[in-house]
Amino acid sequence: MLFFTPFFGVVSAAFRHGKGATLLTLLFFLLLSKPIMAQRDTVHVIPEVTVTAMPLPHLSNTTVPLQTFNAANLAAMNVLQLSDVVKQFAGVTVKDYGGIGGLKTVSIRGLGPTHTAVSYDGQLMGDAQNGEIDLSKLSLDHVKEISLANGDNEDPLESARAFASAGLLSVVTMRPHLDSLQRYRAEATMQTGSFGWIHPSWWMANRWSRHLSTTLYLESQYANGQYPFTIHNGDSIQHLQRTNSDVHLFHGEANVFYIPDSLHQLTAKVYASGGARGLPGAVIFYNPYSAQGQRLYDNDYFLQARFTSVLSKKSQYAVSAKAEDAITRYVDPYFLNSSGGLDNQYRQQEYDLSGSFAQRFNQQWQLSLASDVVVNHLSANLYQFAQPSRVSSYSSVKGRYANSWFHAEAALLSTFVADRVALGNDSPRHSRLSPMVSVSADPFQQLHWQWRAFYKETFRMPTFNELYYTGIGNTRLKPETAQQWNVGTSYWTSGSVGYLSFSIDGYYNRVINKIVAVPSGNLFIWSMLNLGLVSIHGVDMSLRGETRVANGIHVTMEGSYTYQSALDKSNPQNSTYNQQIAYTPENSGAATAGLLMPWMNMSYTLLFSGYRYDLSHSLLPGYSDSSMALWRKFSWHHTSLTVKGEFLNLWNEQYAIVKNYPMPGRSWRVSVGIVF
Amino acid sequence: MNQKSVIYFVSALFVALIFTSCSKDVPTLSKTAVTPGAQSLYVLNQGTMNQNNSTLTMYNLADSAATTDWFTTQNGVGLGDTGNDMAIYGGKIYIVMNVSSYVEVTDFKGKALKQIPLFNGTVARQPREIAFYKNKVYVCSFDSSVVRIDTTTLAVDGITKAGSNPDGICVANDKLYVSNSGGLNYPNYANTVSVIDIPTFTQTKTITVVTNPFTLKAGDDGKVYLLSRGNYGSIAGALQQIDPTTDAVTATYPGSAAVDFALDGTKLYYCNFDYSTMTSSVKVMDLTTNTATDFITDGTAIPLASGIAVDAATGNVYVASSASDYVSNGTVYCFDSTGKKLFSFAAGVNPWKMVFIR
Repeated sequence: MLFFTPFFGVVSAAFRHGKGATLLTLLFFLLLSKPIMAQRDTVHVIPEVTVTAMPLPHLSNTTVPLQTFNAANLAAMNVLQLSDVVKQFAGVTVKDYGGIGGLKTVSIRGLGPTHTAVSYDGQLMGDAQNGEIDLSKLSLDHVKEISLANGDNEDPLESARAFASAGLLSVVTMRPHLDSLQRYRAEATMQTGSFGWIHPSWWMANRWSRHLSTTLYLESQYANGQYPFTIHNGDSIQHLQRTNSDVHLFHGEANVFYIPDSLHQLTAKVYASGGARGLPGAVIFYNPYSAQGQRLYDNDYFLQARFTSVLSKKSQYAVSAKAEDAITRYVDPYFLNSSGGLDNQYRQQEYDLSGSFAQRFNQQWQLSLASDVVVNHLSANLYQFAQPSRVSSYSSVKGRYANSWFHAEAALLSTFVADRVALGNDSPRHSRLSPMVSVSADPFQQLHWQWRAFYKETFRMPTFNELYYTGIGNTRLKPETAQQWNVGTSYWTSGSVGYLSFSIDGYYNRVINKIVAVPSGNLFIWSMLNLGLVSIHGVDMSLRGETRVANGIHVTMEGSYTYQSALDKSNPQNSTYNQQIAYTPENSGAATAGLLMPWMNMSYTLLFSGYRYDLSHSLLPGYSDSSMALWRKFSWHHTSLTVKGEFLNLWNEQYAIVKNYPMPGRSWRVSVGIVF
Repeated sequence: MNQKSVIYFVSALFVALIFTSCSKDVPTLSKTAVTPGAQSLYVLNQGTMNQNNSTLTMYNLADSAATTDWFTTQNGVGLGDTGNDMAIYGGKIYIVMNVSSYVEVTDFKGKALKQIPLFNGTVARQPREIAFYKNKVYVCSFDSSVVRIDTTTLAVDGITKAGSNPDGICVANDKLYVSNSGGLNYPNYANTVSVIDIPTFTQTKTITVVTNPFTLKAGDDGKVYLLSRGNYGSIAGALQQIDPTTDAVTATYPGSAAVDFALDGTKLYYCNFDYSTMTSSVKVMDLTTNTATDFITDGTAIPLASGIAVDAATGNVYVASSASDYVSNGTVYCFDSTGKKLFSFAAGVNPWKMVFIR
């Protein structure tokens, strides 16, 4: 990796290959002469540029708020898991049940986790059963970029399904950057730490020919997860230890990159993961044995492929397909039924076929068409389970206009969803049109001061659990609608000493027909109803900068702050009416400062959250969680060794994000990685 | 509370001192004992599962003041998770904590005297309801057990087995009646009541009742009254009467689906929340004629009826209601015996069982 301007960050080693010099010149010219949005809109006749160039990190010039962490940012972060990275984005609430194996879901701007889609290397991750993606399933290793887009990610070949969600969290993994001189590259990493954490991993990239390369990634994670915690009961403080929170995970994937020429590209991924974890559950007062026996086993396999083709300077298309099979098994041997425990097994299958096409008419006008057909099926060994299947079709049309200082987009998404069940009643079919409009302007082009606004309406289908879970589901549920209005501005400046960027967005969102669970009959039997209306307004702010203080010494900083007023407008009779919704802090934020030196790198990260309400509308105190890392990279020719040590939750703050699910206190982690 | 209702309430209290009645906890066949007026009312709030937010609300009838979390006020620690039953015996209050799996014993001020954990090895028994007989406490639990606790040592001194997921218990005709709900065997709910002989502390027979039975109470008439939930589908919940001399079901009351009931002499009060219409109802049945009528006469709407109790001294009826979202604080409404609202006060999350301190 080499730095070529302090602000444009890193350009990958790919440029060392044949066309490097030309590309570098082109890229340099492109980046300096125009705002980055222009680059994103151009049909890429040099696709390698999109692949390897890092745009201005975190705060790019887009019509919608887009936040990005690239590999260099991630390396400088002292985080345990991918979910901890996501916590640093503005406008995001990660619901974290604590520990390595605990469920972690992401909600953008108070809309709830079911309105956030997660894409992994360009394809959406699906969970028709629960509707929310558990971020603990995703590995942080070999991630090239994590980005969060509200509204639209501006990729002209974005799939219609990705566009169908209110927000999109994208995780993109490393691609091989090899040439004829270096035909392979491998990295072995070993990490260990508190609570029995052992995490070996192996990454290998091979270049088989000028056109074909592959990567292979294998990792395993183990932790006993037995961390001490304190919890308040009235005036007393109890010192306890989390039990039944062990994690055993394996994840392996292989990626194939076939690039026959500069106009075509085929990528494919084979993915397999398996896990076994204890579910410690909520801490129950006076019941020292509440955390025992409950376990979750999951196996997830998928295959995905994507082909992109540039037809001419004006048109391009992409076709992709995915097939997934995911098996989950939940056991509770101490459940007091007559068969002596629970053993619930669920199997989800998903097939996704997607196509998109972008046509540019002239310098200003562009049209994108995209379509997805997704088939989901869920089977379970529950009594009288509906065994539902769902066919969803998404079609989007987007028109864009862009000139040197103004950019506008209008899009319309048509969705059709039909369910079929083997037993019981189908949910009615749903057919919807969802609009989006966005504008952005860069009136003072030399000043890099951009303004933007968008409106987007999306909906999410009730999940299979909400509709069909035996005894709980309600097939009459309507979809939940999310409306987003956003205005914002961003500014950046750069010079020989470094760069500074700042972004602020104000938004107003509504969630209509919010699906909520209510107990029916008694606390053991719950039912689902479209009861809720949530009105959210908030402000997201981000700041990022880097400066060179001396030769080879850089100081980096990034910060985000979120103000969110997410009010329950469901029922004036409720005591929570007009009050902040559960688990959504009014104030939250994150900050990271880094000191990069030739002999050592250091960083300090702080996460903070103001008070929140729990589900019973009682207050949960705010918290802050600090961590720090020291690392150094030693290089000899093509080989490098990275040693990193981290302290997480440095000040041993005892807190819970979800009531009665305590987070770990102070812990440490050491990793050694060798790249050759 | 307006002035008129204060006057009405105080005079009702006074009148109650003259009238005779009999308490739920010491059933007798004739109404000879005078029930003294209540000084305060305790409300057990279930909370929401896994939130450790079950609370005990104290309502002082003299100054109309409610303290939502009285237990924590008195003891500095909370009750724990999912309070399911509460009753008074021998000058003590017994509180049954389901998910925390113990019985809390307090004095009349709510000061904790003893915690009796109920575990089978490391497995929580999940106690549900409680009954008393001759200085012994009987607690039925979801793990099929009925434990016997001595009231002087407050320690478990015997365990026997009932059916599947017992969810209600009472004493009548010197026998224990335990309802077997099978509540954790959805959809295969149980439909029996176990009859347990007290001296030998063993089950002697079972009585077939409406599916998914839970609360059992002995009436002043010596009969056992039972409420079943049904299967939340084709089988509706219902109230039934069992004659403890023959152990036969002697009545199944039509249209009596309910979430809770209370007995006062020849009156049976029951409340329900209908999920199809999303409305609550409170009814009173005359046990001499078996006819039920709407109890509330002044149009007061109860959001989500969850529990009912009668103050035997005044005949006043207390109806507990969950908040309409089930997760925030509920309310307790007090009606006079003619069904007119006297007052209401805020309780904790999902209020449910009520006892009167006299």
